[in-house]
Order: sequence, then structure tokens, then C-alpha cells
Amino acid sequence: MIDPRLKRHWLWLSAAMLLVGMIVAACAPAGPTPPAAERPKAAPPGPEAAAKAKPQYGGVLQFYNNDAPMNLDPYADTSFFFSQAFLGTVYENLVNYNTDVPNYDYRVDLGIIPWLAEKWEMPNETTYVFYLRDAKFHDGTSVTADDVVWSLEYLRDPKNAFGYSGNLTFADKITKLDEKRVQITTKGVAAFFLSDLASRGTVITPKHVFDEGGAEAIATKGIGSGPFKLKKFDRKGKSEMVRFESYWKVDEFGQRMPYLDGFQITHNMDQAAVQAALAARKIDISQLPNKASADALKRQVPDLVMEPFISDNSMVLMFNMRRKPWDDLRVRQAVNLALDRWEMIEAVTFSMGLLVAPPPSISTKTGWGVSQEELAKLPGFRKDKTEDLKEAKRLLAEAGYPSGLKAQLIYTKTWVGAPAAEFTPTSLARAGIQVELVGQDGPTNEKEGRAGNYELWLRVTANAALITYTAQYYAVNAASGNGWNNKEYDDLLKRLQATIDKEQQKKIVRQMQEVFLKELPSLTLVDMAVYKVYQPWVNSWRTQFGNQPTVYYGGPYIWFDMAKLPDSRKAERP
Amino acid sequence: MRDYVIKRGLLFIPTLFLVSVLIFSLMRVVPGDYALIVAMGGEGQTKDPTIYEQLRHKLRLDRSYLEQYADWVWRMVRYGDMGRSFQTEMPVLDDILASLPITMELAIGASLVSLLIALPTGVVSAIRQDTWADYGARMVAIAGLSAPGFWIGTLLIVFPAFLWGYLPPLGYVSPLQNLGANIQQFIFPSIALGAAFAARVMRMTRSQMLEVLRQDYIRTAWAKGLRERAVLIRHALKNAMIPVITIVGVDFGYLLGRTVIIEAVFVLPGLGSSTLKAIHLRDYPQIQGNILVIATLIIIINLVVDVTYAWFDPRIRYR
Repeated sequence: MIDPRLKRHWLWLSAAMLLVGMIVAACAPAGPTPPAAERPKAAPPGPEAAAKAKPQYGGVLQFYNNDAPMNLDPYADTSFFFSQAFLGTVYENLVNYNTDVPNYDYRVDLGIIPWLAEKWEMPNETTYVFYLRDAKFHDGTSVTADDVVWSLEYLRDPKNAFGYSGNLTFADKITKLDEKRVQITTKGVAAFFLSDLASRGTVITPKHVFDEGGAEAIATKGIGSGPFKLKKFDRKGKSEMVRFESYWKVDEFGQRMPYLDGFQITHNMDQAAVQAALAARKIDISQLPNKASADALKRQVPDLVMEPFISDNSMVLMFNMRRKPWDDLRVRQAVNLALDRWEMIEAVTFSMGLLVAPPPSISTKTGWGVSQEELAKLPGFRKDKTEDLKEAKRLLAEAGYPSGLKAQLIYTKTWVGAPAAEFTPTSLARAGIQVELVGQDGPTNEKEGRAGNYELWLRVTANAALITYTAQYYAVNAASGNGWNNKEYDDLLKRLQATIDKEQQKKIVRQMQEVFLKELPSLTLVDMAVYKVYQPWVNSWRTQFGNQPTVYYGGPYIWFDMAKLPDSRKAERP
Repeated sequence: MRDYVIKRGLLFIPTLFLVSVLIFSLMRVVPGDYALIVAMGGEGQTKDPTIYEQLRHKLRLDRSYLEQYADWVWRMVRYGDMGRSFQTEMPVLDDILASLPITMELAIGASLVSLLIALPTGVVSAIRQDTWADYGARMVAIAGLSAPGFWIGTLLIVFPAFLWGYLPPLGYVSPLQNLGANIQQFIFPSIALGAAFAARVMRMTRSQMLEVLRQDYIRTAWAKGLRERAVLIRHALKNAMIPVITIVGVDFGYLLGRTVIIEAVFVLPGLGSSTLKAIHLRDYPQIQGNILVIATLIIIINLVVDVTYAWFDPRIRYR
């Protein structure tokens, strides 16, 4: 029997806990603002407010990444985010995307500018001659043609099996002409070869470092020609870079770049710690994945600057056409019609995303292929789903599924596409398609996808700067192909890669998209909008258009308004 | 006792063998490998599908599982070589030697926090049984057991930052570099990790104290007119502590394997987060080395606890 005193005590205790709970609930801050009823277009990057102001010297940029680079080898890293995010300021390419223009979206016209090469010539369509500028490596030695030839040959050597070696797929012979000139010939006309040379991983490292210490020296010394040189690398804690005083680049005011004294990057930071660090002014730049998190942080720290942009990551729903019923065009069309992309934009991207045209495509590009306005009128892509759903059910019945069908969808649980995958069952259920979600980690998902162990596969593909990049998923020899082999599409892809004239490229892109829309080997869904977030004293930060903050392209340009920098940070030195 | 220790020592080898087979097999069962991760590349995706096969060959993943296992064990036993991490290409042992002290420091910090909280509250709760002090202490204990450590950790990071602009130093600072910064770094994670264990220790302390306080010799001590402090500390607590020490010792071993989330939240590059990252990347040598080291430590700690227990309590005899 329970002691009556105990019973009385517990009653009072329960009442007290209820009261405390009600008080806490009443004091809890309001949740994020719900998305606007009207669906706004994705905002373009904000204006460069300080574009004309003369940059100031000084300051140490503090930022982070979620992991640590494996070592300092720029060719062998497994993931861009974790090494190129800051190694991009140590090593450089022969050419670069046009980052000289503030807030320039290089994905739009793939504008390439000279970088370590101060100019190039093309005596014919398959030959490039690069003239090297007077640049130095961090150890004081000059960048020469020997370094360029060695670096590119080292990158593409099959023995090394570097992931970035694919950037040189079209390179044929790489030859030194003299101390300051390198000639590269391509295997046929390669329209996007300069983009390949500007891409991550195709960097120039000093040959003498390898000669003296082999691959281990490349991985541990971190000697490049970039605006910052490595001071300390600690993958367990913080890495530090200092300004390279002999850097070659000079700005429009005649000032030698970079402007910052250096930067420090804290590895392995958790997202909660990042937000706390922004609030405590210990971190200068960050990126947030969506509007809800941006709004929540803005309420807490109102003077943080936030700029949305459409990220590189497009969501694609792939059919396994080696299995029934996905080899039936009617079934694929039914899924395309049933999927409500506008609802997905609202729910998953908080009304900040864009529709994605079939590959090859970059949704921020205009004048290339099917436009946003045209897409929005197409069945499957339009807002009004009444006719689409009717047609979807009719097609399923015609294909032999009058009561609908069941499907399994695999996706990576921990990647940005997870919300889109989790939204899909709701959307498709309206047409009688019951979707079972199978969430996996990244490597498992990739393995199962490549092995063909799926019916539907939600992928996040990076469109990035390589217009042909996504299209290669569908080429005949694609490693992660889904069983769609269309000779017309393949031929168009090869033609695109060999066509230099931009107007002709646009026509070919359009034709490829039309073939894709007719056959629907996969469904392109939405592009996400992410937010650049930075402290009010940061200027001229160029982002990478991915999902992580980087200074890959922004290293030389970033500068601090020292008047706005907190006093506690003014004494920081790298 | 000596025979007992030798027997336990001999069991060490088959136990480790079993653990090694388990880790090796489990990781091979999980789909995907490091070569695939490099080949799939994320944004830097290769256009050349042969990279995958080339890398598998370079990493010797194209050999049979038996060959891979035998090679790994032979190198470890013969040369003390745990292999090289696929990701960093550095010796696995180097990474372990760098990460382990951080995890140990966190585990020690958490144990100290749990003792500092648990012992006084456990004692007070016992001597003031069925009062508000007792109920309050038990409520806090249950809250500590129920609240996830990562949630407590996140609150400890976020609230001071947003309210006072305070953040512990970012990026691990070794005590040899800067003791003050190191202590600042470890206070909050030790609290986050120690809270749940404090609850267990507190409840054990309380129940042991209650049992001891009912013993005849305690009644005798009161009857002799000893002060409360002498009765509680010199007689009761000393005897009540024996099982508590066992719990703390065993928990310390388990703490080593539970630091993962806290290390991630507080940016501490210990063995837990190293293992987690290695699992994501299918970095087999690193995973195998880390787990083997943790298993070894847990076995040793359990043995030390058993031996210490017998030393504290002469009534215990091992055969």
C-alpha cells in the first residue's frame, strides 16, 4: 500500500511540474515565419554595396568547415568542401572563372579569365598556348612551364587514380615550349576545355617539391602560388594562412592583393556551434541551407548580412529503366505529371527555389534551352495539377495499373535532397502511386544506385560550371546510368562538347532537352536557394554557389571594414 | 588474485581476436567503399569511370576478404603496424595517438563532473530521505538521465553565445599550449557528457548510503555520540563507496565510446569523431584501428576495476 504522505507529495510534485511546463512553453520564442502565401521568385544575389570603395588592408578572416581536409594534396582530396574550401587560396589554376566581377555568377556564361597564365592563344581549334605570368610559389621559386607540365601530367597519371583527373579527359599532349610557355592539344575540339582547366583540382604545384620529397611532400608542405600561404595545418583543430606578400595580383587601385592579414579556419564544426559563433562574432562568413534558418538567425542577430542565391544542387528523380514498370514511357510520364514541383518549391525551398530544365541546364542561365517561363507551362511542371492528375491516372490505367502502383525510392538521408525525397510520397499518392522511402548514407546510396538496386533514385546533381556535367549521367558509358541509352542524345552531347560557337551550343542544348522531355529517363525537380551569411564588416566575399561557405574563389578579394570590426578582434594576427 | 589476473589476461587475446573479426566483417557488409566515395566525388566528380577500379587496386581492396584480414592482422602482430588511413594516407596509429588524449581528457572531465554532482546529492538525498531535498535530487537525476547529452551540449553552446556573446575557444587547444583555454574548452562538454552519468552515480550512491545507514555499526556510531559528519563520512560513505567506485570505473570505459556526439558539438577532434568520420568514408584501416583500441581500453579498464574492487573490499576474493 502506498504511504498516504507519499501520495500527497507526488500530487503536489505533479502539479508543480505542470505549472513549470506551462510557464516554459509561454516563454518560448516564436517559431520561424511561415512562407509567404504568394510564391516569390528566387532573389538574385544582392548588390555589391562596397564595389567602388577602396579596400582596406588588415584583419584575420575566421571561418570553418564541417570536416577537415585529409592532407594538403590538392589532387587527391575526396570532397571539395573539406579541402578546396580553403586550399583554393593556396593553389591556383592556369585560368579562372571571372571572379573579378563582384557577385558575378560564372555559371551563366562560363566566362574564363587569365590567372597563372596571363594570356593564351589558340592557333587552331585543338591547340592552346599558355603564356605564364611572373608568379612565384610560396617558397620564393618562380612558376615555370616545367611546373605546369609536371602538375597536369601528375594529375592525369592513371597510376595515381586521382578523382580530379577527369578534368583532363580531353587533354592530349602537354608540352613545354620554353620556360614561360606551355602548349596543350586536345583530342578533338573540346568546347569546355578552359572550364576544365579552371575547375577545382586542376592546379599548379611546384615540381621541385615532388622531386625532393615525393607525394608525401605535396601532401604535407602545401606550397602553392595563391594569395595566402599556409602557416599551420591542424586537421584536428585550426589551420592558419598568412598573406603571401609576393602575390602577383594587383587591384584597380594599384594595391597588391590580398587585403587580409590572413585567415583561420576551424575544422569539424557542428552547425549549432557555427550559429553560436556567428552570434558571438567569432566567425565571419557562413552559409545557411534555407530561408527558415536564415530568418531564425536574423531575428537573433539582426545586423548579419544575408543574401540568397540559387545553389548548384539540382534535385533529380531517376527511374531504373532496367526494371518494370519504369521501362514503360507511360508510367514515367504519369509520375512526371503527378509530381507537384510548385508545392515542392514551397515546402522544401520555402518558396525560394526554381524549376530545373532537363540536362544540360543551369536554372540561372537565361537564353539557353527551355526557360523558366516555358517550363512553367509544360505538363508536369505547371501549377494547376487538375488536368495533370487526370492524365496521370489515365496513363497508369493504360499501362496496366488502374489501381495505381507501389514504388521504392532510395535517397541519401544526410544530404540536401532529403526533404525533397520525403515530400515525394505525398505528391505521388494523389495519382495512386504509393512510394516507400529508403533512406541511406551517401556511399550506400551511391553503391546501390550504381548496382541498379533501386526503382526510383533521388539524386542531387551539381550543375556547377560544367554544362555537360549532368548530361554525362545519361551518356551511354555513364557509370551511374539508369539503362537509358539514346543515341540521339549521345550524339548531341558529343556535338555540344565539340562546338565552340555559343549560339550553336544554345541550339544543341535545346535539342538535348527536347529529347529528354520526350523520353523522361529521369525527372528534373527543383533547384535550392541557399543564403550567404556574413558579418557587416566583410566585403567582397565571392561564394562558390555550393552549399558550404568557401573562400575558394574569394581569397584575394575579401577585405574588412576595420571601423566596423569589433575591438576585441582588431588585434588578431594569423 | 594473481591467478585471477592471469586468467583474465589470457582471455584478452581471444576477446580481441573476436572483436577484430567482428569489426572487419561488419564494415565489409556495409555497402560502398572508399574508392567509390572518391569516384563519386561530389562536386568534383570524375568523368572517367575507370578511376573506381584503379583506386580499388591501389588500396588493395580488390583482394579477397580473407587476404585483406590476414594481411591486416599479420602487420599488426609482426610490425605493430595498423596500416595507413585511406583518407589521410598517414599511419592509423598516429591519428589514434593524436585523438585518444582528447577523448580521455573528455572522459576524465565527465567522470569528475559526474562525481562532483552525484556524491553530494546522493548523500544528501539519502540522509534526507522522503523530503523535498530527496525528491528534488531524484527529479534532477531523472532529468539528467532522460535529457540527451547532445541537447544539453547544444544549449550550453548556444545560450551563452546568444545571450552574452560568449563562446569557448574554437578548435582544440592542448593543455600544454594553453591550459586556461583548454580548461575553458572542456568544461561545457564535460558537463554535457557527465550529466547522464551523474544521475546513475547519484542513484547508486543514494541506494548504497540508505543500505549502509541501516546497518548496526552505524546505529552504534550514533549511540556512541559521534557527530553527524564523522558518522556519515568516516563510517557510512566509505563503505557505501565501494560499489559506486565500480560503477564509475565501468562507466569510464563506456564513456570512451560515447563521446562521439559531444565531440562533434564542441569541435573536439577525439577518437569518437575520428571513428564516425572514418565510418562515413569507409576508411577501413582507421575504423579497425580505432575500434580495436577502444575495445582494448575497455577490457583493461574492466580488469582494473575488478582488481581495485577486491582491494577496497577485503571480503571479495577472486579465484
